[in-house]
Amino acid sequence: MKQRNYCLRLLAGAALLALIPARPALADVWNKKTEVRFSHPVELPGQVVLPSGEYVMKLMDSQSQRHIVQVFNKEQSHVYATILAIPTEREKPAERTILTFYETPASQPMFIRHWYYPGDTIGQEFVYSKDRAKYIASLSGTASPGRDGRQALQARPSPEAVAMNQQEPAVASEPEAAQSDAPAPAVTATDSVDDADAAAAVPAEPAAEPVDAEAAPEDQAQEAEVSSGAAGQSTPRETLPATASLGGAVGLVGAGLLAASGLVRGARQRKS
Amino acid sequence: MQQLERFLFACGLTCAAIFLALLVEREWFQYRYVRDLSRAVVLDTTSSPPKKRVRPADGDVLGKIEIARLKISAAVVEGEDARTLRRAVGHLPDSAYPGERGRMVLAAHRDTFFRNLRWAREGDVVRMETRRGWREYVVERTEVVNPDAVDVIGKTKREVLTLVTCYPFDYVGPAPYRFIVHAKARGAQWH
Repeated sequence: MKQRNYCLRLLAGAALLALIPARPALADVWNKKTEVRFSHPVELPGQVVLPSGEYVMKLMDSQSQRHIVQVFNKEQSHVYATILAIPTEREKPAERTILTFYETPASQPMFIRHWYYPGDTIGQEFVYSKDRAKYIASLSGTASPGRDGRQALQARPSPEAVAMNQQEPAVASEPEAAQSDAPAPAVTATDSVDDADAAAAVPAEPAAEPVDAEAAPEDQAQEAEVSSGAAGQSTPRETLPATASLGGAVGLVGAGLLAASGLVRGARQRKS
Repeated sequence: MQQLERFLFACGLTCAAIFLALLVEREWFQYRYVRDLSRAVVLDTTSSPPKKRVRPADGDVLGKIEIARLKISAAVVEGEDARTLRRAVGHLPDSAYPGERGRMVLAAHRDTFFRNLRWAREGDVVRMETRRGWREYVVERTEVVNPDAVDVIGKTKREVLTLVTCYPFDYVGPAPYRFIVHAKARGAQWH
């Protein structure tokens, strides 16, 4: 009997030990923690320019808002940016971490556009200010955003996003370093990817290996399709349409008041 | 006693008058547009590139929505403001149009046009008719979400339709949840 109890305890202990490494993985799934390696300066919403290097992207720990992205340094000791993204959707779950960028010339920082965590169909789309959206459009040689109010609107950040981006003035993006260190860009403006899947980053394991953001420019045709308004929202919505109606309640109250009036009249007549 | 009776009667009459006015406004609007789509705008969903298309203005009638099994038939108007939703089914301006790839989102009150939406089930056919023709969608699923669950009307590259109304259906006053119907595109006929 003692021998059996000992074996059971041993098994229980082994099971507990086996569970320990699983905890960080669950945490990573919750906050979508992803290590990325940029081989070229990258500009985030809020005009935060990250020099090439390794960074950690993850979602802010919030139950209600699952589209606040934080970008840390590799050691996670410094937050470069806190960005209110908007949800975006893929038809198929991403098999690997996917980062896509707007197409820009090699001499310019890359502008991050989408981020999908492995297994997710819902990802994050980064929203730039109207001015930056125009700038990106001019860099990528697309139609003038001034002529297309919809495109400009799509890139307008919500007041919260602006506020959040402004909360991080010490972004320490080291623009000088970004400019002087600018290595040969991994992606040039002439690269194009027909399938969004092709823009997938390299490693399969999230947060285990840094995701290399090298082969990830977005095809301009795809951008045009998305900005057609077919699915887009000009600014991130906070709530669904207000379909609550008071018409029925007004009718009900009216009927109640008329009935009450009739009751009072009846009581008055009985009294007299 | 007589004063109380008069007060209650006046208040009741006022409420009933408001209710009737809303009803007449809604029915008159529907009468004008549901039976005759010639007043609706012609949706430009085929010109290329898509981002140069002309978009309808708020208040423009786009067409009508019909769900035969649920006896739902109502005009669809561009916009989602209170006036629009009082008179018709509203089309969210940032969402797709019939024939466009993406998500078309239509919203209406649960106690008017979408009253019977509670009975929606998989396989129900939703037809959106415009001056250019019609597009059919098939209901895939329904769900109840919080009002801030904007993910349900997020971007997609498929041609889908999402109907939004309040939930619970029998609630009196502003209901706390939203009832969502997801449908995918099926057939179409354009001319």
